[in-house]
Amino acid sequence: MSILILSGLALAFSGFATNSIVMDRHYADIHGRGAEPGPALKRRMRLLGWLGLALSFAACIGASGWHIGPVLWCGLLSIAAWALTLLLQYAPRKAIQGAWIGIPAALTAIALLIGR
Amino acid sequence: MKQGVVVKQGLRQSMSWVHTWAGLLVCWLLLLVFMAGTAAYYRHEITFWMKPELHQAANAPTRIATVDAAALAVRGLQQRAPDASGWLIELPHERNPLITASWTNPPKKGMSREERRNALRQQNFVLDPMTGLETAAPRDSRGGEFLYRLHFDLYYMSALWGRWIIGIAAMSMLVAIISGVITHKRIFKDFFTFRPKKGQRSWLDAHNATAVLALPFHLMITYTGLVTLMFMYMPSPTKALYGDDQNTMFGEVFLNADRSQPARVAAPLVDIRPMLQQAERAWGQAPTRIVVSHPNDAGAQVQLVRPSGQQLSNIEPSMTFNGASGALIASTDAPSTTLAARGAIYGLHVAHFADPLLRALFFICGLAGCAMVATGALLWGVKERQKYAKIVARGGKVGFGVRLVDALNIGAIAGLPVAFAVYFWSNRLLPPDAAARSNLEANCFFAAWAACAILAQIRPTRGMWRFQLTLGALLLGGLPLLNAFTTDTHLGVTLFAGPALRAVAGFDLVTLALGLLLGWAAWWLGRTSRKQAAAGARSARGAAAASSTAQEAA
Amino acid sequence: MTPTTWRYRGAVASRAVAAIGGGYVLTSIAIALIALALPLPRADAVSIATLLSFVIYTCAILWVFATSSATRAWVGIAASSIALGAVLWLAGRMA
Repeated sequence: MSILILSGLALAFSGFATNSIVMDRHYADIHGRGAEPGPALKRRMRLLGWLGLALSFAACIGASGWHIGPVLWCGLLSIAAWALTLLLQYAPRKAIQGAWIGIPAALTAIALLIGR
Repeated sequence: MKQGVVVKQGLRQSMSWVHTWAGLLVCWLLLLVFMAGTAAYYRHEITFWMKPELHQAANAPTRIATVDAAALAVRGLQQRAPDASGWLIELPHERNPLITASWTNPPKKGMSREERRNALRQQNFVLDPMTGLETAAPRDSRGGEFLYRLHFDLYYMSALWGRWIIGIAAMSMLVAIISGVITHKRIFKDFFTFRPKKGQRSWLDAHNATAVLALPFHLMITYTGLVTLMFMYMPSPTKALYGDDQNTMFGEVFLNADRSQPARVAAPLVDIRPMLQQAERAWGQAPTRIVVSHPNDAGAQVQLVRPSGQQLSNIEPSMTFNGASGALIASTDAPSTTLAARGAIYGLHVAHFADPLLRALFFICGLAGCAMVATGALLWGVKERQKYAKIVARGGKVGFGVRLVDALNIGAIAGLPVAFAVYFWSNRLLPPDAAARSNLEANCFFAAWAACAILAQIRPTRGMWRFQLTLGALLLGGLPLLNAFTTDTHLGVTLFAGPALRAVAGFDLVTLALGLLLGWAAWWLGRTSRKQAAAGARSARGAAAASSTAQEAA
Repeated sequence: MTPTTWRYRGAVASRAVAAIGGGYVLTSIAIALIALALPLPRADAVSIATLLSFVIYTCAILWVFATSSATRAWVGIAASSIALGAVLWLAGRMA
């Protein structure tokens, strides 16, 4: 149960981080002032980001049901967003690297959800 | 604001104005509500920490059966209050490991509110869950209930006044939230933005981050808070559909409301053990609460309640029995979708459904709400102060508004944590058998807050900020140490004891963490002012050097 | 640059009264009407109508401050209150 919730948290962070990569301000933080992400990259990252958030939602529903799950999801989203905000300010590259956690988290979550 | 003449004011600008004033006029009261309300998520744990006499009993390795515990509680109540109008028995559950029993008498004519409150506080006892025997009476303290009630009833006034005042503040907050979202132009672009060390910009980023990134919580808690008292705030639909018959409306909407009437014929209360066994068979779990209406009367009713489980609604499943015969009268039917939805909306505010993780998340979001209100008020001060920058540079003073807001900010943002800490310190330091002890504890809370607020009005300076923040840090962070000196259940014990004492450990750790946070804030303020002073000294030296160079050249 | 003339302050005060007081009156009438109009059991209707009250009140307050003049705000609040109030009164007569 807690592993599923942890996966949900990691997926929320990863989803937000992936989305933030192609936001103008944060892209420029990494690649230098004035740099802008291309439209293909934007599309890909946004899709992956939202996928991560959706999987996070599924993990929460799996952990706590359809009534309490969404409430849990909102709480995890806030924690993930605050963590990402601080990281993007103080260690932007680590924040982006952190997005990769979404892959093992996704695999874990899917495995646990199918297993129930 | 357009005056009907020329300047067209966009939606964002008018909403910005509304956001500022709807927020500013009530922010200090809202800080009290948010801080007390956030603490209230752990009101059972706070009450437990504040009654150390009960810690040993709660840490019982074994427990008597629920059914026997209930029977013992009933026996105790029969001895003490056979003619009470109502009995309440709380049976052990996750967040409260003890058995508590209390009774209410119909209010006697001529009793003041104070007398009634004092009477209520004596009318309870606690049973040891291991032996079933009565524990020694713990110190008289309202514990977490004081903070819980504070955040919607206020204090030193009738509950009705308190609820209206807070209702107005909550409605203002709702308007502030919605107008804030409308006016926030870059809400998506600035979603993850936080830029420190940039003065006003940083305060705005902090306000945005604490507000937007927990927006679902803030919106939910404000709206659901209003909903908890909605029939009082907005009575017209009730008037339209029920006329003046409010009691019927409450009975139909709040399904577990007590609708029993005393028959005024004596009839001894039957043994409740079969009722509990029947409920446990039907539910698959033991009841956690027993409500007896009009015990030892022919019209007595015994209502057994259990938690609603994995549901948001705070409508708890119940079974009601006739107290004189033992027959089952009613069990809660599944409520209609609408009533279940209303229950869920109410339930979201009180979060009874929350397990430890979710409860911690609610608590953190509540703290973020405090930060949101605080950064908003500070942001206003910073912005207004800039208008006086030139005047201040010439040695003048800031306007009345800025000074007042500065003082109120210190009193609320730094002063309230001091008040909370003093409340907890008073619990440990006041003699356990002092008269009207729980009133004394409450008075200590308000005395501390008043002192901080008054000091802040006298000297609304950076130094006062640092003083009050440091005081708060020492008092809050020092609570675990105080606990160690005044009780046996300090961190050294509670971290390694059973689940019941984990609540005490949690209290110590959270107050320590909050104390460290306040301490960091005080240090940070000192560092920034030292930097400014150093910069000022450097420019003064530079000016002196330049003038001496100029003199030499001359 | 917000002007601080008495005229400006008067306009603000006027809107505040329209929003807080007038908005409350309008909301009360509207939700009573909703409660009567909903084809549901009494308990359900009273719950839905009262739950909606804070949404309607918020919208009314925001509209009063967003609309282009204090006069317009008063006209809007008063007209809708009177119109809905008339319907409510008729509904009361017919019940």
